[in-house]
Amino acid sequence: MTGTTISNDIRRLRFARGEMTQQALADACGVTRQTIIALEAGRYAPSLELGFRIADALGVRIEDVFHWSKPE
Amino acid sequence: MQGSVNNRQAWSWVAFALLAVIGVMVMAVGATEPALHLVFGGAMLLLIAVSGAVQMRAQRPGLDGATPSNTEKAAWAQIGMGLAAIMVLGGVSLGSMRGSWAAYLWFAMYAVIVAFFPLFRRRFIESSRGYREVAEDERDLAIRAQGDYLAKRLLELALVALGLVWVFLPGLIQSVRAPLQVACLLLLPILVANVAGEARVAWLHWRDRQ
Repeated sequence: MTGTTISNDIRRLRFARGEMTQQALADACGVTRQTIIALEAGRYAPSLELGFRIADALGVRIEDVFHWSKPE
Repeated sequence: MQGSVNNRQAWSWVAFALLAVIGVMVMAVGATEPALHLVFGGAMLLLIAVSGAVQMRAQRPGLDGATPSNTEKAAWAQIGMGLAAIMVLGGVSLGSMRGSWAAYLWFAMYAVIVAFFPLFRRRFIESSRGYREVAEDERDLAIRAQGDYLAKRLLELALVALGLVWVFLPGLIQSVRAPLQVACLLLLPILVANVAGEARVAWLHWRDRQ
């Protein structure tokens, strides 16, 4: 929805996991493909639960997916 | 397949252009009569045509080929429906269809739509979703909350504005006397606020895809 201080490596991790498609990740996490696109573009910060679901679907820990940068 | 889509789009552009021309003509007739409800109706037809054209442009694929989600499509559809309702009910409050059964029919139809709106919206979203696709996720709900917030604030402001006009400038709405006209006038702020809220929802969805 807006720019966020939370960045992520979803796109890189998707490709590392056998070029998983955005739709496949969306299906695995119970969200729409548009939400995955917004996440990858850094336009949406997910809920904690969705963050865990994404990490689980990508087979990594949540801190490997999301990074928080402290606002100036 | 692509040809039929292009054909459909071309016809949609023609329909919107035609609607805009009719709107301008109705406004011109209303201005020469003069008849306020015709000017209003013409302006609303023009606005519906413009919103339809904007919707057509907005539904193009964006980042990573992202097409509009079902909730975005629902928001666009609701803008069109809301503008049509403003045109009809606003027209009734300004004196069109005065005393005719059609005015009561439109009012009753609006009441039914409002009563069953959540059901209609759910069915609209579910009908166009694919296998395993979720109907509405947390981002959709977050965006919807922003639209609802704007609609609520606008509704408050619009009702206060209407109240101020009623109290301090009664001459402006002295022609609104019949119970149905008053009821339609009171519904206008709700419709305007809802259209603005849906426009914000559609805009936020669209922006996320760019």
